[in-house]
This record gives sequence, structure tokens and C-alpha cells, in this order.
Amino acid sequence: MTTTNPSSSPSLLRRVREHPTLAAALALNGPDRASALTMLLLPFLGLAASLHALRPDAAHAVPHDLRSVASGTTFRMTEARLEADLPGRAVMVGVANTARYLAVRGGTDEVTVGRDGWLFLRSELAVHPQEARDLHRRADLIVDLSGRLRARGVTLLVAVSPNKSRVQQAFLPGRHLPAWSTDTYRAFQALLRARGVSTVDLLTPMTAAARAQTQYYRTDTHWNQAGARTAAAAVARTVRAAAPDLPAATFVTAADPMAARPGDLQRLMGLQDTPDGLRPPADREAQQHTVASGGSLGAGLLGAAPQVVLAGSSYGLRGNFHGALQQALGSTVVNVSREGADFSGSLRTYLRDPAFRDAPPRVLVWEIPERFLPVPLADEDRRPLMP
Amino acid sequence: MVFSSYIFLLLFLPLFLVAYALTPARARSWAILLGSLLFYAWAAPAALGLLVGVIVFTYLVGGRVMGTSGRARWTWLTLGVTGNLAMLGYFKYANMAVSSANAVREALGLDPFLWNHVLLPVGLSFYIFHAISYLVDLHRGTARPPRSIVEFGAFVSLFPHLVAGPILRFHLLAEQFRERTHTPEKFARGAQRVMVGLSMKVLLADPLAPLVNAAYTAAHPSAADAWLGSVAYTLQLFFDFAGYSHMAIGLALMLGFVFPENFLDPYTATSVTAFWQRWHVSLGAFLREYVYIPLGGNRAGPGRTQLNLFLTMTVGGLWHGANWTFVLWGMWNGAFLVLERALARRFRRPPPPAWYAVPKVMLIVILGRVLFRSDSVSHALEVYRGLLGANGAALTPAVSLLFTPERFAVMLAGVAVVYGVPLLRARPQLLRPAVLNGVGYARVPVFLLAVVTLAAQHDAPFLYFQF
Repeated sequence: MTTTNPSSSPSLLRRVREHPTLAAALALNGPDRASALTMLLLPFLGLAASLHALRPDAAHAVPHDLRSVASGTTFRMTEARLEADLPGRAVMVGVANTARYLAVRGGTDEVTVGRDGWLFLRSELAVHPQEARDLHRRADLIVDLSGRLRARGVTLLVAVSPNKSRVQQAFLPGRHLPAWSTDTYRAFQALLRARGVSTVDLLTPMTAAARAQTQYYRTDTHWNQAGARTAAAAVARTVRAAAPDLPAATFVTAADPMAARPGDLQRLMGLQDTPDGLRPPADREAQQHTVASGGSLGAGLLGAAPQVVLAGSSYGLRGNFHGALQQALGSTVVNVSREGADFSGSLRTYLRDPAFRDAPPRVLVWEIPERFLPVPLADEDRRPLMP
Repeated sequence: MVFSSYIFLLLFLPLFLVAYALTPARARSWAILLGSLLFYAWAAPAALGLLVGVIVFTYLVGGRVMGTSGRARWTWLTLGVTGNLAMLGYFKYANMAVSSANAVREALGLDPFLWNHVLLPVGLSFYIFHAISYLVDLHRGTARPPRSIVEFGAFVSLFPHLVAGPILRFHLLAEQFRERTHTPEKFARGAQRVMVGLSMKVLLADPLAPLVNAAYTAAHPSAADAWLGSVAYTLQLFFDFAGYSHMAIGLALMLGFVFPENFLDPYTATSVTAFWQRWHVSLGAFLREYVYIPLGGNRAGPGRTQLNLFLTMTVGGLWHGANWTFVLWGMWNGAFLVLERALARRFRRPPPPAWYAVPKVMLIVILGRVLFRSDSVSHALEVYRGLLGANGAALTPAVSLLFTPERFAVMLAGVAVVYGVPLLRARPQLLRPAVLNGVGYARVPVFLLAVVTLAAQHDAPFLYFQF
């Protein structure tokens, strides 16, 4: 029979502390000790994190068959999964980008840091060698669509939402757009107008309004509530000109209490969880909501065809643009805008929807972000917009 | 697998260290071999067979070299070296040879040869050189043969130096495979080197890559593009490759191996000759022992010495890649080595002051690197036109967009490290001991910043993987 004397068995902590490597590492001088302990501890903490990230998960299974191993697929997928699911990854990105911001007011490959904590999407400043060609191709698509819609009694109204860097260029690092910038906005508008497509100029009123009040969020790509109101007023004027007899409706706007609103550019920098003192501070706003007052729901919600439809990008969902547009128009607008629509995503979806096929609107407002215009066409955009 | 990745730092390295520590001393070559093969397979599973083939072929031929004498011994050595060079030649230079031949045939109005492009297995240039050094060292009797093919395989595939060096001559490691010590001091020093290397790579080299790429992909680079891109590339290449070498040396130390240094403050060199004694030292040493000396070295008079020097540098250039740009780059360096020797013999002047000599050498290095970085000779000529201002002066938009304050700060920090560290090493009294101690401690937070920065950056392989 074997007996164990608990007092003669060293505790795990003591055994670890007395391990020759660790003991010798602890006996080193200051900087050497710090380095040795870091390299002893970090990989093993990382190992625990790695094993957690790579735990079996049927939804993200990594193939282990011989073919996958031989082709390197197993290794690539394992590495990709580790990097995507490593615990604390978002915190690490935040720490790295916070350090970069604090050290030299540096941004990332996607985000440029401007003056007074303003952030800009770097792609808005990029050069597109084939810009003229791609503007023409997009204009061709829109002209074709405009003609098809007109044949069905629908007026197409194109509203290009200007780049933040164009309207708020006073906050760019050099206070103005780079010398190489092209006037994409006016060039595209001129292309459409010359070929008979109705457009709304949002750039002129927003640039004018920006002198008194900023029109975009400081830390977000999109227009703010003031900018959305300016844009909505311009769109409403043009819609009224195209359809002066829209059914009237009244709307009221209420506002939430003032609150912080971290922007998408902050998230793109991984600074969404960083304290305001260590990052470009988040915008603050009293978020507005516009709703129909009384029973004036307008057409389109009671079975009849909608009079006006807004098919936009994420701009159509920000800054209460939809509400501001209804209020400025004094009539109901059906909003089919959606996130991540790129150039034509929301419009294509809507045009294929039975709701459009069965009951097309009188006016279709298509809001397109300027930054999607000069880039090469995606495969989808090589096909006609309307089937 | 690259050192600057989470899969290496957080999964492979700790698992390997545990396995290595638990393996009995007599079987540690097995642990190294298996771990290194896994490390290699991670990057290039399809090429694993070639690495194993080189190990087996070279070991068998090495056995014949040791087992014979006289002419037969020489014949086996020739077979082994030729076999290894043939593999290097096929995978690395066949594309270049065929395309050059086709250019001539097309100029003569002949049909080009049909050819399927051959992919270069990662690290081939390095492990072939390790294999050749093994055969030559056995033949010269400068090293004892390994005790088994496992020990030899561990030498060739040792993961710290497998894919991008340092290039280790066999006699430097042969005894260490038989006997080496594992001490906390070695581990700590190795840890420091790994930390410094990763910090150099992630914080000083990688941020410059987009700027360099933009400058070197501009169709007609302006003077500002070409100079900015070339200076940034000079810093990027140093911190990328020296960072890798720090990590390789550090990882080896953690396993008990002592590797020779690969960089000795090369950007403080006051002559091109000194530069090449300090830059990629292991390649220089390999070429000296296995190319320059076999060519006759300096034993056949001044003229032949100069020719040998020039040829050795040209071979060194070609080793970097199958492109005429590398050949010309090697010739550029060889020409300056020859010129410096000739001028020294002719005038016997004292060396110039550092304030003049260091910028002069850097200018020669930067101008030569245009060839090294360019995709083709015509591309390099376009960059040289840019350097001379033939394409205008101002930054082009794509470069300007990427020349951000943080990249400028990285370049300044890089220059401070390149010149500040050697200065402090030579004159530590410039800083108080407490400050120096603080600098030692600063390695840890800087390293941790590099580790978290990995999460925020895109894939950035080491530049020397392509060679």
C-alpha cells in the first residue's frame, strides 16, 4: 500500500517557480529577465488563445484529408481561422491603431486622419486611371434605364451624394483636395444631363451649407442630420418639379437625447472601444426620427402604387435622410435603400421586386455615392440595370 | 510559415519549444527535423518532397565523399555539387534561360521554344547552399560528418534558417549538432533578438512596403517618386532582412545554437568593400569560401584577383534571382569593389572622413538597389530616368497619397535606429546607465506593440523569401 504525505509534495506553483528555466530566467538582470519572461509567457498565453480559436466548429471546419493537406488548403484555412477568431483580436487592432494615432496622428490604409479629429475614407482621394471610361459606362447604363422607366411612366431622378472629402475639404490635412483630384461629381452630372437624365445637384447646396454648419459626421463617411436635411431639400425641390401634384401628408420630427455616435470610420480604424481621449472623439447628436402625423399615411402603404420611391445606399439610411425628404416634400416616400448597396445594389433589388413590377412609382429617386462612380465596373454592373 | 505571423508565434513556436524541451537530448535532432519539415510544409507542402530529396541525395553523396579518396573523392564531390546546382538551375534559372533564348530566336525570326513556367520552391536557394557547403566541408575535412541522416537533415532544414538564411556553412554548425548548451542566458538573449527582429519587421519595414510599391509601380516615376521610393526601399529592405536575421539568430539561440551575425551596421560603412563585409554577411562568407577562393582568390596576381572579385559579385547577384536586373546589380557592386581596390593600390590615400564616405556609399547602394527592386532592366531604366528628373519633379498622386505623416515618421525612426544604435554601442557613455537600462526594458512594450500590430496589418511576407 502506498501512502502520500501531502506536505512532501510541492505545490504546482512552487514547482513552476522552482523550474530550472524559470528560476534562471528570474535570476537574470532586469532587461534580460523582462525579455526572457515575455518570451516564456507570451507564446504560451498565445497557445491557449490559439487552441481556443481553433476549437472544433462544424460551421468553420478545416478539411484534413490528404488532398487538402497536400495542396496547402488545410494550412491556409487553419491560419485564416486562427487570425479571424483569435480572442482579443479586435482589442489588439484597437491598441495598435490607437498607438499609431497617438504617436503621429496616423490613420490606417483605409482611413486618413484630417484636421481637428476629422476622418476621411482614403479611397475617396484615390486616383482612378480609367475614370473617364468608367463614368461613361455608368452613364450609359443610367441612360438606358431612364429610357426604359420612362416607357413605363416612371421618372428617374439621379441624386449623387458627394464625397465627404469634397464637401468638407477644409478638414483635410492640407485643407483642400489634392491637386490630382478630378471633379468627378460635376463631370458625371454633366454626362447625365447632356443625355436627358434628370439629376439633383447636392454638391452646390451642401458646399454652401457647410460654410455655416458641418454637413458630414466627423468620424463617419456619411452625411449628418444637417447634411441630410440639405440634401433632402434639394431632392424634394426636384421631385416637386417632376410631380407637382403628389398627395399631401404631414410629418413630425422628434429627437432622442444627445448621445455619442461612434462613426464607421472609427470602426474601420478599430477604435470603436477606445476612450474618446485616445482617439478622434466620437460625434454627438440628438438622433431625429420623422413620422407621419395623424392619419396621413399617403399612397403606397394602403395598397395603391407609391408615388415616390427612394432607392439609395447607406446614405439613404443615415442622418434621418428619409424622414427629412418626406418632410421637405410633404408627401410619403417609400425607402428601399439598403446597406452595402455599392453602385446599384438597392436599385437592382427593387427593380426585380414584384412591388415594382406590379405598381411602379411615379418618381424613382436613385441616390448613388460619388465614390462608387469612378471605380471599374463590377461584373453585375456590366448588365442592364432593368431586366 | 513566416516568423511574423500568429500561427508561428502563438501556435508553432510554443508547441515546438514544449516538444523540444520534452525530447531527450539524443533525439533532439529528430524534433528539429520533424518540426522544421512541418514548418516548411506549411508554406509549401508541394515542395516538401524536393527538400527531402535534396537531403537524401546530398547525404548519400556525402557518404561516398567520406568513403573514397583521391580522384574518386573529387568525382563524388563534383557529382554532389553539380546535382544540387542542377536542381537550383532548373527551378530558379530555367525560365530565365528559356525566355532569353526565345528573345534571341524571335529576333532571328525563329519560333520560340514552348515552355511551362517553373515555380521556384520557397527557400531553395538557401538550402541548396547549405547542402553544397556540407559536401565541400566534408571534402576539405573542415568538419566531421554528421552521425546520421537525421542530424544532417536537421542541419539543412533547421527552421530558423531554412527559408531565408542566414546561410550557414556546415562546419559552423556540425559540432553544435553533437553538443550544445541550453542556458537561460542563451534563451534570454535569443528572446531579445526575436523581439528586436519582429519589431524591426513589423514596425519599421512593413509600413514602408505600400509606399515603395507605389513608387516602383508608377509608369513614369517623377524625381520625388523615384528618390522617395528608393530611400524608403533602402530602409525597408534593411529592416525586413535584418529583422528576419535577428529572429533567426534569436530562435536558434533559444534552441542552443549560436549562429554568426548576418548584419554588422552595414549602412555606416565607409566603403563599398566594407559594406559588403557587413551586409548579408553569411552570403558574403559563403561566396568567398565556395566561389571566390575556388576561382583562385587573390593567389594569381592583381588582375586575376580583380576579375575573381567581379565574377564572385556577379554570381552573388545572379543567386538573388533569375533576372538580368540581378546580374547587372551584381556587376554594379563588383565594379565598385574592383574600383576601390584599384584606387587604393594606385593612390594609397588615407580613408576619407565618415561624413563624406558614408553618404557616398549609401548613394552607390541606393542607385544599385534600383536594379535590385525593379522588375526588368527597362523598368530600372525608367526609374533611373525618374531619379534624373526626366519625368517631372513632383510626387505622383498614388505615391503622394501613401506618403503619410506616419510613414514619414517611420522613415525618420528607421534612420535614427540605423545610425543611433551603432553610435550608442560605440559610445554608451552618451546616455546615463539608467536611460540605457530603460532602453533595454523598452524592448518588451515595443515587441508587444509589434505583436498587436500584426492583427492590424495585411499579409506581409519577408522580402528574402522570394530569393
